Amino acid sequence: MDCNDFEKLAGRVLDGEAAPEEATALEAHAASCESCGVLIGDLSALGRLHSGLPELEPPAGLTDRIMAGIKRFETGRTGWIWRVLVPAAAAVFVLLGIRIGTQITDAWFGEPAVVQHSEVTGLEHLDVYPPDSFGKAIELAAKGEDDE
Amino acid sequence: MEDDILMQRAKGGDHDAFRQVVERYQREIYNYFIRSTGSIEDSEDMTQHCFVNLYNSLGRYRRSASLRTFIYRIATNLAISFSRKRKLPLSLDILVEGGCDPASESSSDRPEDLAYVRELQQAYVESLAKLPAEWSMILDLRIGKELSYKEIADAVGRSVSSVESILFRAREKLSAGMAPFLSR
Ligand SMILES: [Zn+2]
Repeated sequence: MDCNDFEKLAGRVLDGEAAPEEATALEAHAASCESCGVLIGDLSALGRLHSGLPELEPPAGLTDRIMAGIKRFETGRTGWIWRVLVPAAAAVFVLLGIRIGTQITDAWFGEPAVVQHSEVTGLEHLDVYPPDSFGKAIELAAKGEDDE
Repeated sequence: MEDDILMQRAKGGDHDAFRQVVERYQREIYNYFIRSTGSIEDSEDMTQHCFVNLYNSLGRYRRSASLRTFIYRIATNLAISFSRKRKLPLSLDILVEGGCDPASESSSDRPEDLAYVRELQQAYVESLAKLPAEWSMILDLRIGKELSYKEIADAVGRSVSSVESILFRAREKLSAGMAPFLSR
């Protein structure tokens, strides 16, 4: 192992990601090479500095606010179903009703009963969230997208 | 109770189970956001978003995955998109004013030692703030949160070798920034 290999391997050993034989080789080199011995000492000192950085206690009531946010989110989701999906589903039923009614009428009154697929299907293409909703913003953020 | 059991119960609509998940992880996620955004106020909002998003992702959570990595994946996505818009340099002051004095936790009682620890931490935090946002997040996931390379790779959506290479470069830059304090 030379000093370049040492530098590349040092982080992996400190992070506990190196194979045992790599760690042994690193130790042996550090014992015989002063500058690499210093390097590994410095890197572990940086690690200790990082681990020693202060952490803050979350503000009081954060859990309650999170849980309240979840309830609002659920209500919003249900609200969206009531506002959009239910009227849309109602419209589908009405249109289907008209079509079936027409076909029955056609059948009774001698017109050719052409079986057609309803064009009013495919609600699955609708987004789960409306475009400017809270849910959409979070969904975009979670995908790492934004409006830049 | 194990994470998996709590998540299964939460999936079934058990809010108390989900609350336990929040209580278990909110502190580390909150601090992860503070370090990656430099803002205490924004970190509180982001912690809320992170857990609402986790709740919304209950259906995508698989028993085999580590919940912690799963949460960090959501948190990292939020932090990265936030840092593209607004990232404040993390200052030791906000951490100290936030209620925790790092120097006072030092084992030494001598004021000059405490002052030195404070100076060292200040320099470290400044060097950390100069790193690209994703690099400091990856460094914090490794050293601060002790995630493995594989877990970090899953959390940030990169390969293990790319995580390793970022850690290498981040340490190189930090060493350069901290050169006056290091023995080399
Ligand atoms: Zn050497």
